[in-house]
Amino acid sequence: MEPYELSFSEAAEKIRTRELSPVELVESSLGRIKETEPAINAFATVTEESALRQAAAAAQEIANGHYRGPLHGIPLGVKDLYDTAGVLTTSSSRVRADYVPDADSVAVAKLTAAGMIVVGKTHTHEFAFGATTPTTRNPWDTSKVPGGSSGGSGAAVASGSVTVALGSDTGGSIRIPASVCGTVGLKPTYGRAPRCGVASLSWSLDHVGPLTRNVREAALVMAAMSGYDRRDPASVDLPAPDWSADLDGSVAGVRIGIPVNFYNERVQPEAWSAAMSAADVVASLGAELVKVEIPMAETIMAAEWTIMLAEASSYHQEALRDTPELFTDEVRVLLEAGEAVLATSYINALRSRTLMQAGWKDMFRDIDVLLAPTVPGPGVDAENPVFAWAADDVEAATSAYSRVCAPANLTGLPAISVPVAFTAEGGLPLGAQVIGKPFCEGDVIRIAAAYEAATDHVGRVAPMSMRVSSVS
Amino acid sequence: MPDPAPALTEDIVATVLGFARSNVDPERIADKIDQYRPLLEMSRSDVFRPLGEIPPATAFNARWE
Repeated sequence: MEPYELSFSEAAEKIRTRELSPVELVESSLGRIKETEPAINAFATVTEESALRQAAAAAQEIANGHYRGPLHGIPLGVKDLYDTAGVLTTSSSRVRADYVPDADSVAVAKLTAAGMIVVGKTHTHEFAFGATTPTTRNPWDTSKVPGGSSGGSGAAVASGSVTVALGSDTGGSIRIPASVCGTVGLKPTYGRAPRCGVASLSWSLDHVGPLTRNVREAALVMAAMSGYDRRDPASVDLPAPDWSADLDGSVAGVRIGIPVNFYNERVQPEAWSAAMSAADVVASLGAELVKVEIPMAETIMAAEWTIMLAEASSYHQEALRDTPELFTDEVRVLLEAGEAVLATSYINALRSRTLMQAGWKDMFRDIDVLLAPTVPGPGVDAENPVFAWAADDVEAATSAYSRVCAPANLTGLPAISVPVAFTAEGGLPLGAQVIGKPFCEGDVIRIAAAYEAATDHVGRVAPMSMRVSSVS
Repeated sequence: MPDPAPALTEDIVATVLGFARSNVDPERIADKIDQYRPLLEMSRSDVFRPLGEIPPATAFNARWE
């Protein structure tokens, strides 16, 4: 077994006991990147030299008795939206082709302080405004999209190049690639983790968090990224969380909401069945399934897109005026449309969000968490990224993927996606998401960890050697 | 039941984008109108009615530290 194949827990334990050097692990990670990149193109930049230098320093530090904890010496992929000092940070856009930040984003600073080693920057759908990540392919089938916008991070974890990569989630951009690539993806409660130094798509919907191979490292990395930071106006002043007890916690008596609307509409039957089978697994461990109706379902997409379009167009307005030709046409169209969203429409979407929050609070009186498909189906064809629901009903993949994820962005509730099945045709991963009450990430982590322990769906590396073909 | 909203024509979009000084030229608006239209239809403010006295969900924090 190569070091990159070790689970996070195995690698961390071997590093702690000095059976494995961070240098060996990082070299193995870099080797896997070289092996898989021709087929998937997950990385915008590989930071080989600095990664090896940091790995050597970590090895020396540990040898000197200064082990920092389970993240020490673990390779990390960082979405190219996150600032990294001295490293090109393009947001996968020609608009920022030459942007090299002076300082790390807060998340990267926190994780490197915990001992993680950045091995590269992962591709994003341009400025996170889309859910297909056209630069990158899915390790499970390289003719398919990896999801997005954190598609490079999903592909990097699924290919085995890293066990942890960072994402951001405005309309599902952590959970979508996690589901489509067969990884874990954790979006915290809005305000839990500061977003300073991460290019924004939509300030009031953006969240940062990890995509990981297993649930344990998702909990540890998310905790390490969390904490109050005044520079992020959404940051909530709470102590650093510790969800380790939830990783081995019982789900007996937990009330799991099963939606009777919205999440079962325009969703492929196989994706819905996979999520319901996952619910049955958790029920067999002692949880109770409770049917619930999603409130204000008819307003979700309008609120999500109105807020996102208006805020994104404000963020990019100067670049759109100065160098519109540097954006991809897909994103340029979205930003131009956002210029025409009226202020009253935007504010009414925010007012609608207030009502939605109240509705969800009411719904959660009867349940502890909600369980639903993460996305309407698996990775779609990269050459034609759509869901065809009927001959006259074709939905763009970005719209379809984000539709099922958007409620957790609008409500700000914590959500985790875990792989729960593989399609009968093609063996593509399907995920289910568990959404919890505000600042109750421990609840969703507990459900996900219990599901992981009871099945063999979580923690797989894509068998790429069987399906490798170069990205054109 | 409110009256149905008027169709979102190319002229209306061009007027709004012009007021916004967006620098999107008429040829591009004509070329992209079918992509703009569904996004803007979705955002029409009457989609969200009734809202009554409901305030917006915002994230301003008046604390200095």
